[in-house]
Amino acid sequence: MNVRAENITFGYDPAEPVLRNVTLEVVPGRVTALFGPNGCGKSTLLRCMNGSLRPQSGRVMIGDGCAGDMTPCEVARQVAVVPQETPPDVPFTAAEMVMLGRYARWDAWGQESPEDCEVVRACLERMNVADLADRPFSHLSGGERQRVVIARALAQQSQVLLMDEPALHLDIAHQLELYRLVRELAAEGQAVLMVCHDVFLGPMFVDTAVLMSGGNIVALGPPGDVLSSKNLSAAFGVSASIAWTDARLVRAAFS
Amino acid sequence: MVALLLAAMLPAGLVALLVGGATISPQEVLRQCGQVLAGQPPEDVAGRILFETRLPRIVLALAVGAAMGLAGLASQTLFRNPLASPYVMGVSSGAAVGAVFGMLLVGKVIGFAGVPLISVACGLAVTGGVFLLARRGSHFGQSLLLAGIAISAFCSALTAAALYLAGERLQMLVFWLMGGLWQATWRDVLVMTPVTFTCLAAALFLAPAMDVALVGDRSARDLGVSVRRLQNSLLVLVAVATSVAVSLTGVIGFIGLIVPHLLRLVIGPGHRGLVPACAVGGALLLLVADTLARTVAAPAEVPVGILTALVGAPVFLWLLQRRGVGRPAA
Repeated sequence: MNVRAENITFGYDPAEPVLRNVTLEVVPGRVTALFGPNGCGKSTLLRCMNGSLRPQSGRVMIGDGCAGDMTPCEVARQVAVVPQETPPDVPFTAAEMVMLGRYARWDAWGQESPEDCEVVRACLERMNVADLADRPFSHLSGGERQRVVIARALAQQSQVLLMDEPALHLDIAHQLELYRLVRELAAEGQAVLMVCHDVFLGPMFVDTAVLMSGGNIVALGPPGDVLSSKNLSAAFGVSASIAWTDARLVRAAFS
Repeated sequence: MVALLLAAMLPAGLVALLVGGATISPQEVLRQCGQVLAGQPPEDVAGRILFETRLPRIVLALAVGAAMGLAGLASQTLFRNPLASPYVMGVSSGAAVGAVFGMLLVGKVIGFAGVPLISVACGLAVTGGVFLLARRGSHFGQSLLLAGIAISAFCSALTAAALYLAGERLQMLVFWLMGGLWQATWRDVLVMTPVTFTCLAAALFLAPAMDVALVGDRSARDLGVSVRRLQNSLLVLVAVATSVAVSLTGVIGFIGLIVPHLLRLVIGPGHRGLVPACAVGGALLLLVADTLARTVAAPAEVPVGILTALVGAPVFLWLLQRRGVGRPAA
């Protein structure tokens, strides 16, 4: 399923748009990553893509439906979100937290089916947190919580995954694991869009890099082209020296 | 847990039926029950005490207690704050103002039967006002709490003014404000019971979404909850349950605050278990409290509101001690 933002303009204060006439499409089987300086509108764009923020002009299409006309429940069956931060003060265990990902698929009275339990177990295992299943979410470390939240998004069994800095709080081993998982999900046919701050490791696992600056998309394409010395220098206002060989970063220096 | 609490209701109800100002022996109670079940209306004094004073009072205590347990749970989830209760939203103070002015000013004109109506109307109006104020703010839960506290204070001032002006009816007003079930009639039961059951059904229906709401508004929406609709539904539930309860029994504190707390400790934070447990637990607690209220100083009666607050506050403090202040609604 494709999710497409068509010419969207959004501002928390309509007089000061954070996104200016942005058009972006995420496609099944591909990993798209948003790069750009703080405050350039990456997370805002992500939150528009599942309809939780309503653009002042333009529209977001989820498959054939306009996100603005869909209920949160309809959206959640097709689009899952991994938020940037999850408050740790949630009274549930890790497994209960992942079960919340099934909300959009419960019947009206919230009966959990055996299938729900099976999905939750599989998602916990896939994220390597099965042994934490019965631990209180609030007792987990930042990285463990992040993996539980990703498991919750997987439990939604959606076709589109939106992740806001999913590598935050993860150590290098778990970052690699996460990026490999993202590739696996794309190979399974998911459309993945993630906000990425990591120009070193992240780009190696990305099909399409999107560079944003000041609420606009300034470059879009293969990471090697988009994250060039010239583009990064302009977007971040630093002097960047980047060298790519075969979509692999071989050298990066910032000053 | 729900079954256990339900089972405890029966002996509590029986005890409540047996004790009271007039001494009626268990045999007499049995005989009277048999008579009424056989379709004959109670004719002697004992029968009238049992079926027109004690029984409606028992049923009303159960219905009001259940509504308070549910309203307390709903407001704690709505604010994601364990300290929330219908009282901080101004519902009870609004309903109290309505009742007090109703009794003072209009009671004579439209009859005291109309006072509960005025009270409910004021409770709902205050909630509506708080709601409109809060929806303008950026953070709904916090704005609701702040607006509620402000309006609560305003309503308390109005109530105090009414007391100041009450003159000879001061005692009646004060006694009413302290909360109690001594005036319970079958008519009250008939008003309260449908409200309680409607709120219970609504809360059961909202329970899965209430679970998800505990992870925060943004994530709840991403997971598929219509957050605004949930908040509005919970607000209506709290407003209706509380204002009807207050209009019939006055302000009885602490049940709504303490019942969800206690039960969360026992059965965990999941609302599919908490909703029925809070309804049954609230019902049981108010019945026990009311039975105590009319027996500890018999033949005089302690307003049950005093009793619940006297016992409730220390228990609540003890809970805070144990769990640490400011922990999530868990």
